[in-house]
Amino acid sequence: MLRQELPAILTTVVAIVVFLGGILFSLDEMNVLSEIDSWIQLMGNMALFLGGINLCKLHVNNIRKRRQHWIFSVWLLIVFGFFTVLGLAKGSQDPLYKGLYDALIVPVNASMHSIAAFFLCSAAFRAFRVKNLDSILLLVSGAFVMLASVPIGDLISSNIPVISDWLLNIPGSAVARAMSNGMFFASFAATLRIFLGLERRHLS
Amino acid sequence: MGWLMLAAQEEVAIPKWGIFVNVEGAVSGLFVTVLVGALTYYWIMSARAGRQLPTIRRLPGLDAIDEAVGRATEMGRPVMLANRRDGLGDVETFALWGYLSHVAYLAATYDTRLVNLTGSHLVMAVNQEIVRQAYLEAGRPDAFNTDDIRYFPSSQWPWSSHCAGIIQREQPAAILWVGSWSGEASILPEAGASIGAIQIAACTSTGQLPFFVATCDYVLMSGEVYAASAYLSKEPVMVGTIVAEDHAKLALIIVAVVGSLVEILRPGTQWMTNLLKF
Repeated sequence: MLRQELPAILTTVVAIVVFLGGILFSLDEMNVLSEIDSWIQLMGNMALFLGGINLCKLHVNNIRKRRQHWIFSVWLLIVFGFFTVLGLAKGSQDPLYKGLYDALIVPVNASMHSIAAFFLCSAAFRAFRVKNLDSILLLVSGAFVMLASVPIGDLISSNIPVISDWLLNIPGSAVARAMSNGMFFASFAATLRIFLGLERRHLS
Repeated sequence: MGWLMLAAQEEVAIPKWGIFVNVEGAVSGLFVTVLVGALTYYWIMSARAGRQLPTIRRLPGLDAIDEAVGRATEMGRPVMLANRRDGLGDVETFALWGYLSHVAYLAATYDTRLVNLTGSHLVMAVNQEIVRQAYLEAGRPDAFNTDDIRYFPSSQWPWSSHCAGIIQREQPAAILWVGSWSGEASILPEAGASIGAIQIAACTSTGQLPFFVATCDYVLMSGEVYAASAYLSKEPVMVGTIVAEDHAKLALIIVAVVGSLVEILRPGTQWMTNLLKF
């Protein structure tokens, strides 16, 4: 009862309060959402410790069992410990903390992002192989959109950007909107399943 | 003086029909909610009464999950299920749990390792319990390994390189990408394709779908993603909610057609738009 029914009842009651609050009253006046938000933050902070412990446990195990690439686990734990101590001692706005973050993470992030182009090339090579009518359509429309994105497209023909715009704004946009509408109703039905207590996997 | 004018303007915003807050879509939102709620209730009651429900079309992406786990078992390699962005309160996460419990049950039954990656520490805690429960239901609680349900902070590129590293090191034979994704969708499935893994994506981010379509073997999109738990459970009551959802979509198509016809016959009236904004 406590494990399954009570959370399901609480979910339904909170859902009704928040939903009716959004339609019938001003939520700012009710102050309900900010209260719920602070509960979520409290839960989140508690669970952050759990996540941190899980991360450390996993990498300590890697080192203890000398798993492949265990040296990276050592590095992760050093960095994890260093940034935790520094952040707790000096705060996240400290120049040293921010400087280290900007000097290390930002360039690494940029490098990782930049290699996406190579992954895209190999994926596009496979996706654009002509096998049937669908793949021919994909290849032709992809070619127009790609050519329109580079200066040479306009030099080849001034119609290429026009065709590309048409592809993106008319069929592309229509399909995207149809999918968004489908997604809205599907997520709505999924939410109703949760609110009605039919979906209870998270309460296992 | 300005303050007084603002206060006067605020007072002018009288509630719609005397009770509804004066914001766009408040009344129509309630109407749509009540309509879909009533449809869902009707089909749930029909299912409970044992009446025949309309048949749901087959979803190859969901049917392929069994095949993917079976293939991983034959190859003696793990199955991986990953989600980075979605938090505890997101509806995508609830959809993810449908996939996770099903895959975990299959993995436990076939004695195959399941590696789960998430970018939320809260979701990880729930994932552990769901997988533990699935292993228990499959009669293999001893095979459950907490270390295989992993959390890594959800910053986009660190998470992606962590995930790509796991793909290279652990060589999963089957990978499921579930939930909403960003630019990492251009890298991760390609990393999976490079090791020859069978890949199934259930993606709710419309902008990232082309990348999954280009790299994965099966892609579930739009409403299909959320239908998984009901479809996989095969429970009539759950299936009833999908039928209700489809009827709501039908109603939307009728609204779109009627709205378009009105706009063609009497241009500029925007009758349907104003109705939906009320």
